[in-house]
Amino acid sequence: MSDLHNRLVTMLIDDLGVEDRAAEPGITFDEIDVDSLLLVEFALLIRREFGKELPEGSLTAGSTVADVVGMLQEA
Amino acid sequence: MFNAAITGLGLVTPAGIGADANWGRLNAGGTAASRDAALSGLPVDFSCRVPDFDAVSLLGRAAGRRLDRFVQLAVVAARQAVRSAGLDSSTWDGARVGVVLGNSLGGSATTEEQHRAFLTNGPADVSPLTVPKSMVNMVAGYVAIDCGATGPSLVTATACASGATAVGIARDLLRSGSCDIVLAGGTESALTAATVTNLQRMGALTSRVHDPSSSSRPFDAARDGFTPAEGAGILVLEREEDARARGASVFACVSGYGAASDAFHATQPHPSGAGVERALRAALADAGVEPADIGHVNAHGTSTPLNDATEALALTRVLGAGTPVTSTKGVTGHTLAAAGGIEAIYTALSLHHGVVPPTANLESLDPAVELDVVSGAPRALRMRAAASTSLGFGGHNAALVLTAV
Repeated sequence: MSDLHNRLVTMLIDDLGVEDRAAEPGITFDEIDVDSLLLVEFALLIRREFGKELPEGSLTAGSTVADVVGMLQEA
Repeated sequence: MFNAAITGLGLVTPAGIGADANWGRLNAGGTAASRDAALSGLPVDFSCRVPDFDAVSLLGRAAGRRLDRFVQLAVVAARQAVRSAGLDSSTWDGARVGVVLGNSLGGSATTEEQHRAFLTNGPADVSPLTVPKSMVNMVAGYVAIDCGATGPSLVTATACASGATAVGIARDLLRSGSCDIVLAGGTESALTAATVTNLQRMGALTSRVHDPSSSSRPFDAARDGFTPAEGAGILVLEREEDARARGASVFACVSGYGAASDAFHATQPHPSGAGVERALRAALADAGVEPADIGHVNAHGTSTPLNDATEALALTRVLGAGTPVTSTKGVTGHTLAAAGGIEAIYTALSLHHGVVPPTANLESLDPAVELDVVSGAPRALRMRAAASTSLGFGGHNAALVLTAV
């Protein structure tokens, strides 16, 4: 896993209180009970941390951390 | 007469976490007030906080990260109460369980933090969790979620009487048959720089900044305002016959409740204490208890000049000069909306143990107070009944009459 991927997982676990399974490859946000409000909160934390804005609605229940890594690399 | 049995106790207060810790601290005396880093540089830079409250270790990471502290305190207290009642929330019929909790200031820390984010960085920096973290009703909602209570749930808001109001409403839910079990009490955690400043600017707080440990001194001639505090106190209430039928331990019963409004002033109690007098008389009538049967009163006793003076007048008129009274706020400070819940539990513990804890910091009784304010050391006192009184900004008055079992 890349440093970016690991950092995002750490943010989910430490800052948002998501369960440890967030570190499992390919697990979706829905599977770790990250609801729509937490997705918006996650996008806010990403903006503060990386200075990059994810397009509204780009994070969905079926997204994974790997998807977020891809979005950030393209942003 | 209707008895709501108190079968479970949950306390998360400046006097400690758990009923045993609280009872020990109350009877040892000594205030919980200390300098507060969050209030550094303010005219009142001290408070009474819950000691060693680690939300993540007590509640897990999700609740520890996502809930405001006023909710976290309540969830911990509710879990304690359910456990001490010998109930199992994973197997009970949740539809028969209600939650009634008092709160007044909601998630002040969250609101203020997000307001700063808004002013500093604009709307895009505001957390989407702000509303669910900060609304006052959310504490009833989260406690219901935590214990699977799908009966009625609500928050009472009668300022510093909210916790007592909640206990009274909870008893009504049992009496009407709407619920078989109700978690009732109050919670507050608003020890933020802005909120404490708001209280200080209205003249409600003590100015004894040189010595926080002596700042909360109910009924003392030198009292000058209350000491801000946080906490939660939650009881499990059941119909007495139901509690007996399942073999539950009963600490005491809530046998009477009365409420009345001053309709006088936004923040000052009526100078005669007429409102709290009517609330207490109503609670006594509801309980079918004579004034002479009240062994002691756990008074609101905030340590403000006006509250203690007017409350003392009312208690003297209803119960007579020389009635034993204590104010546990000398130890805990004023936990605002939580106070009525916390003090209902303290009153139950007094009935259960036959002991009235002393009023901390009482050195020189206000000469206008004609009550027997217990001070110095705990007093052994077997009682058939006791009362707890609460007054709130807005002129809200609430009184509970508890009876021994």
